[in-house]
Amino acid sequence: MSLRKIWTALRGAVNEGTEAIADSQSLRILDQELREAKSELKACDENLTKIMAKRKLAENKVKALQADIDNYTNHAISASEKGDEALAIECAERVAELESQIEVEQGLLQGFKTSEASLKSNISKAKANVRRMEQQIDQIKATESVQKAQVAVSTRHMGANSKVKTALDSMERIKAKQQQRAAELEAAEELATEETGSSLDAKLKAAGITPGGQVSGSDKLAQLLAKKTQA
Amino acid sequence: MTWNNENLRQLAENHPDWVVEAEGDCLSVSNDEGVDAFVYVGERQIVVESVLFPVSQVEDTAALNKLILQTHQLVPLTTVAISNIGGDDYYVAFGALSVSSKDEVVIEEIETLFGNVGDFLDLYAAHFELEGVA
Repeated sequence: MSLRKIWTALRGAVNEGTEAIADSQSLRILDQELREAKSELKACDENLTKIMAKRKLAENKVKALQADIDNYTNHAISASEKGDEALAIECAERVAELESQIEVEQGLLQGFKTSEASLKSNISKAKANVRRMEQQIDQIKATESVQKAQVAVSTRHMGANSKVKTALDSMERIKAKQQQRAAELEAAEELATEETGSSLDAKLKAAGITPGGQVSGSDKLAQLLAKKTQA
Repeated sequence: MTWNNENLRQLAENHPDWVVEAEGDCLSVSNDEGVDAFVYVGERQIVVESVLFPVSQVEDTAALNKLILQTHQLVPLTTVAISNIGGDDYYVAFGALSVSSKDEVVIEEIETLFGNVGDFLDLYAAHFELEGVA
């Protein structure tokens, strides 16, 4: 099913006006085409199985013939070596006969192999096609369901005969949100900078440059003793 | 795993910024910007769609369409289309993904759509009349 065909069908459905696309003739045609493509694919699969079985049989036959050829070739040589020329010729004649048989079988085998390869390639293309058709039908059904839902939501929120609620209606809110997010990001950055600042303060305190740093045990003891003397 | 309306609804409801409602065969997902996305779970794919603005509000559709095609490659996950809704044509933005997608991929698709909707309105702003915008 070509994209052009789908578009023609869909445009037809839109022109039909009130008729829902999902219930329309066009979608039924698409569904029908999908079913046909699927059953064709199934038939191809079955044919492939048959061809593969035939190929297997032909392979076995070629193997058996080759074994016979080897066998009778050896016999012919043995017989000739033993001086039994008549038997040797009989064996050689059998070899010639088998060789013409194997030639025929190999021709058939090659034919099966070629059909198998082309069937496999066609099946994988057909499968990809069926998947694409399913996606397209899904997309059409999705579009229709989404359209219905959009109309329903708009009617509920904005009243009957109202226009469909669009993202544009939320433009101000989108902008406000974007500004809010930017502000939040800025605040977070400031916070991060402040933290760096406070860590600098901590370093200064630790170095004893600013007050409030860590006091050593002996310093503290001196402080305590000084306080006690004052008291 | 394969998505359906029910488990997808549960997934979307976990998102802190979204409000999810069943709406016919779809789910309607609204974000904190007030943008609605409609999610449809089909046999093969999930479709997420938002309506951008009516075609009738565009001053020069040929110019806008050209801009859309020129900039489309920059937004690989979201597609812009014209869809007939309730008898009127609207520019819509949508994304489609496989029903066997992972959780985070589904969330990413919806989040990306919401993000791109804002970007589209910003990018296309010169092409539509702003009268009557709430």
